[in-house]
Amino acid sequence: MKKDIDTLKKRSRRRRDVVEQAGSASLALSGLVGMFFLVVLVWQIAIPTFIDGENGEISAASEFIPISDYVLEWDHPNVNEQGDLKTEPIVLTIKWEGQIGAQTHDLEIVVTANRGEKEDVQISEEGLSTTSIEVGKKTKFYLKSVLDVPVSVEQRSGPVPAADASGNPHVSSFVVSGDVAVLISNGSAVFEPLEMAGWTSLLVLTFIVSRPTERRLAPLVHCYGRERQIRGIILLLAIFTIVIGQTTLSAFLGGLCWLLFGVALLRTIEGMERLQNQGRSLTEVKRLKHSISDREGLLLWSRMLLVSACFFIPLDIDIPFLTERYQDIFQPYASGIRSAFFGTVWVMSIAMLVSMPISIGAAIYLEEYAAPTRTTKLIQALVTNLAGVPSIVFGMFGLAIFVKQGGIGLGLGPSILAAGLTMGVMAMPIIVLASQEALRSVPRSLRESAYGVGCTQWQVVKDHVLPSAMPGIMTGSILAMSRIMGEAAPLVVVGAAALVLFDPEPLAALTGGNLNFTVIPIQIYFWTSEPEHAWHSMAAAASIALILLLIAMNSIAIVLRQHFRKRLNS
Amino acid sequence: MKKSLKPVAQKRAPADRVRLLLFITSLSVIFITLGIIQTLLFEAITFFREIAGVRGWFSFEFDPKGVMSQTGLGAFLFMLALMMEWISEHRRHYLAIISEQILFPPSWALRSIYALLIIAVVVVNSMLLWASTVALVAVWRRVAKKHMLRGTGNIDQTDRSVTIALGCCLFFSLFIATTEHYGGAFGEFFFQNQWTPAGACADRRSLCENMNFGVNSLLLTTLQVAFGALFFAVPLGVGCAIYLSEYASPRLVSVVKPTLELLAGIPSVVYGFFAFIYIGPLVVELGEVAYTNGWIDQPPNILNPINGAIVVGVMILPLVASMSEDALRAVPNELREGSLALGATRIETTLRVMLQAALSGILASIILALSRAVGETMAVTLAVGTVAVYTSNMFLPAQTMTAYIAQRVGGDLPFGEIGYLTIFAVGLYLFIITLSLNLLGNKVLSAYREAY
Amino acid sequence: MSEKIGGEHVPDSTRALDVDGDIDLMVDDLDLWYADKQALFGVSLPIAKNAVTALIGPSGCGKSTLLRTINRMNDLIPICRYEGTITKGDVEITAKDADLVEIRKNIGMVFQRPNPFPKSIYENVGYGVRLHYQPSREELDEIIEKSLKRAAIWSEVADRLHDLGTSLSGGQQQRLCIARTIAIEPDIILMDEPCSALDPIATAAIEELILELKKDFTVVIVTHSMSQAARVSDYTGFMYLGRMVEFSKTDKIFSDPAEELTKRYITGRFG
Repeated sequence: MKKDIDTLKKRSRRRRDVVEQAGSASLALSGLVGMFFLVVLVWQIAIPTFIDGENGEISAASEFIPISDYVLEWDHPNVNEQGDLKTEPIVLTIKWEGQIGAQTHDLEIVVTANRGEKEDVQISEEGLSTTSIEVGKKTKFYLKSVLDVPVSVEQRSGPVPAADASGNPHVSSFVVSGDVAVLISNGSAVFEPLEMAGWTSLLVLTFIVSRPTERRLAPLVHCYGRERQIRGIILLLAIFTIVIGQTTLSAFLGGLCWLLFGVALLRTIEGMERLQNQGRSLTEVKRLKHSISDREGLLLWSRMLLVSACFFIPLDIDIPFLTERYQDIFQPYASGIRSAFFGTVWVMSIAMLVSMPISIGAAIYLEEYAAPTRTTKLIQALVTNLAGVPSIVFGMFGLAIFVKQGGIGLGLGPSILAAGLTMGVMAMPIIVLASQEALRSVPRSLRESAYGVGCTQWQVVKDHVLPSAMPGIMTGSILAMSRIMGEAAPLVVVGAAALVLFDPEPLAALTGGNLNFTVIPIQIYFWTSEPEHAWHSMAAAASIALILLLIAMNSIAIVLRQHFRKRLNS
Repeated sequence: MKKSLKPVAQKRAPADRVRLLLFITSLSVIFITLGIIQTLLFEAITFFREIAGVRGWFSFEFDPKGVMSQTGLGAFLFMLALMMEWISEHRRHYLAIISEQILFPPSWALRSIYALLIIAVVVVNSMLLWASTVALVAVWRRVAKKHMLRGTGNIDQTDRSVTIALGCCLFFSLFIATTEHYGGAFGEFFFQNQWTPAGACADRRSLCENMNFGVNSLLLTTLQVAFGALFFAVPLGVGCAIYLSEYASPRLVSVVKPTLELLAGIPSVVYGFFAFIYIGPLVVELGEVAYTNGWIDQPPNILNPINGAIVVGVMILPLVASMSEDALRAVPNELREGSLALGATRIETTLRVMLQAALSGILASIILALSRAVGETMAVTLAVGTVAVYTSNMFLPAQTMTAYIAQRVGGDLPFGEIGYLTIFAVGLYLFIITLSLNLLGNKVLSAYREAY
Repeated sequence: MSEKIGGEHVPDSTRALDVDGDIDLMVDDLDLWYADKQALFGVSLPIAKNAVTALIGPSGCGKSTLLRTINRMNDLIPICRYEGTITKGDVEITAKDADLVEIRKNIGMVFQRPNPFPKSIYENVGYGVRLHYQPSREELDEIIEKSLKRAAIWSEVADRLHDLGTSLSGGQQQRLCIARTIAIEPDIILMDEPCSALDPIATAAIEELILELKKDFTVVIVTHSMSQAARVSDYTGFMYLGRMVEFSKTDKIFSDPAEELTKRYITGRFG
């Protein structure tokens, strides 16, 4: 049967098929390009961080660290006024694989009392420009290389250079060119038995609590009735661990392990006793799982602690990059992000302390109390649009309100307090929006049933709505936190410093201490702005550290959300 | 029967007190907004007043010969568009005089006109002329649509916003065309193109002759970078979104979506670093080719707007992709099935039905991404450079508004001096631009959410 | 032959699958699974040309699934797979390399919820035509007017062809969707509970329309309402738990069902 419509001119099926193929292919391609950017980004940042090289050798593969200069400096002269040697002669051995084979040259250095006198040494294919030099004390001088191959420098004899504060006898520990061993060095072999014991105890107890059997629980029976002693001993152990470990990170984590171990142990014993008081035996393991109060939560925290402490206690990885402060402008590879890290922690803490109560309160008002009046609508619109205001505008707001004195300024100066308040203001709209979302997702029926038993509005909010919205609120807050953690722009405006040699003081603005502070993104910004390429690999390492920190925070948010969701559903 | 439980003493007051407390916390949002506006406005006004004290508020010279310029032509086109619009609204019967051929040209002609318009962006020197051409074509299609609906009684309410907008454009372009040599505080700030706020003065604290405050050089670079970023991010982001919502298997989506969120969570200063060490050198290589072939007159610099545009594009890509994907997902499945059941291929369904249905959602994502690109600071500061000179050669260093603020406050900036005040004037301008973009974007978005 | 499922005896296969006149489409022994769950068990069904075939049965019995398999809409669901054949003339619809575009062009579908595109009424009807053909403006105008007239909606929308299709009322939207489907002149129109979202007046209009359409098209309609099946259809298939229990002429099935199960369903004792 011929249809009327077939009199029309047909579209070519082949062309339609070709369009289909080409279209879907190009769409997939655009998706791939997006992914490709991520890979390139991570790769390009990772390269300068993890170039391989050993003790002062430069990997020729690293394009971002062309051969840099070695900077040396001695504090004290090694000759007396007559020019006789007071100590062993200082001799450096300089080696490289040149085009005409391996070359080894010695350089003798005489340090005189004349401060400022110096002579730089050129390293070229022909050899050293000179084999012995005289330099003044406390004067930096350069070994300048024009080679395109790695050069290694070792000290054969004589006193070590002054800048080497750790007492490490090798020059190589502070050479400018990519020495990764400085960034991540493994196993400094300072074994802390107390920390290890705390970690192991927590591991064992976590295992017992997560899979209780009668045999595993048997030793704990002896602890009945000794709760007070146990509490005291464990508290002491925790304090000792921290004190003996000289409040390093690993000592702190070890102490935390002890504390969590104590809590878990006491809860377990309490649960076992409760079970036996009811006349049940320990063989009813399933019962036990329910009789330990908040077992799920305990397990969650101890697992998180175990994993994070595992890098610092049993594996004992020492990452000077994380634990060192900024040293000075000539020693990029000896510097670290310690001050910046503490700056970040303090700024975040103040920001959260300020913004969370206010934002959550505002969200509760907007969702639960507010009638749709003009004011409410205005506030809602402001919140939505404030979230999109550029971060630098918040920085200027902070500059005028918190930093500067006069007018409406509080005059806190470029301090952590001012930075924290600025960041808090910035985080507010984000947290309000996230909290509103969470409150909105609480089912109406829950509210109605609470009203049904005669709760007042505040009781409904406090006892029913807030607890079930809390996971959402917490997740939103952590995500907001991780977002402002990466923000550098407002803090540049507020006045974060490029060079902070000491750990920051959080309340310096009020107590009148040193105002200087910096945070990790700012550190990355200033390091990137340095002309010396070596700083760029520091910036890369700091970027990696920042991204890892953000990923860790997001993961915590996700874990918390899962945990609470499971608890609410069960 | 006796109740054995003692009732809880019901205090009446707390509920109201809690309500008040919560209300006050929510008022803090208003305080913050007012604080931001007050700060920016206060300092910006001080800035303008200080300049006005020396150079006056606003001055220009009238030059009627300017009507013959490109901008004058633009003004003429705007006038034409305005007339067409007015006739179609108020003297509808005159429309009958226009022949159908003019209102409804064949589709190939229409398409080539649209294509020409897009190409013209690159070719035409004067932005106003281009904008006026676009307006003219838009009004032409609008009138054609009205003509099609004529007699159906569906154009009962007259839409005056278009007339008003066209009137404003006409006035503005006419003003630009017939005046020159702008001076005074406002004339300098909004119409001049030279930004040398430090000047070469002995006393840098107060205003001197050599200081120039033409914010256009910053604004134009900002727009260059922001639109350049959209140029990269929109095709890739929307393409990625379409692929994810229409083609990809759920497993792929479950991998790609978190990755996108991860990309969106990477701090902008890290992107800046990435631009500095990776994209910059690549762009320079490209620029070298252009330079040796004589397409540009100066050798490229590692810091340039193209570098910034690419990195900001990469930054806003996940935002565009994620929001567009949400928009596409919100379209009911029935529309997709309806189209497929008529024998459409997947790509036809996607392009003709899904994209059209999700258009306003995608548009909102683009507007919000644009606002983000305009307000982006650290990446741009590290990628574009610190030379506050606008050139059309995009391989040379320049400076955006945000980068200027970041660079200016980077040094020690005494309170109250002219340099301190400039950042607030620039900041206010920036704030107004981004706020209006956000308002627009959120309005489009909420309208879209209501539709589905 | 019968087997016992969930306490009910469900006959395994239909008896004589005879229809008067030509058979337009034949479903033969179709099994269908969603992941591991089997939804259709050896369903066979002849569909008579230029007649209305109704599928009835309780919710979840596989009526819509069967309908969606006929124009391969189930291919959109990744976890769905099937065995068996559906043939239309000498075209095997269920073949792996079947041309889906051609199949769907010839077998149109109207959905449960009216789903006009967010385009003008004119564009909605013209959409399908423009997909497959390159009509001139006059030709397209003509087709659109004809389709809208056949869908009995022309008088209501003639003066507002450039309004959005979504601005119409529910019943009008559904008729617009029917107009959209018949604009490309398919052989068969599948209707998946087309009246379930509509009020009684709109339903009456659609039913009238179905009887009109029968002259030019083959119609398969899935419906919840037995009275609707009785009113509009020539043939009725009763499905239960994924099986075709009984298929015969509508008069026969409603007056003298062969199966006890059918009888109980029709008299409203379950379902």
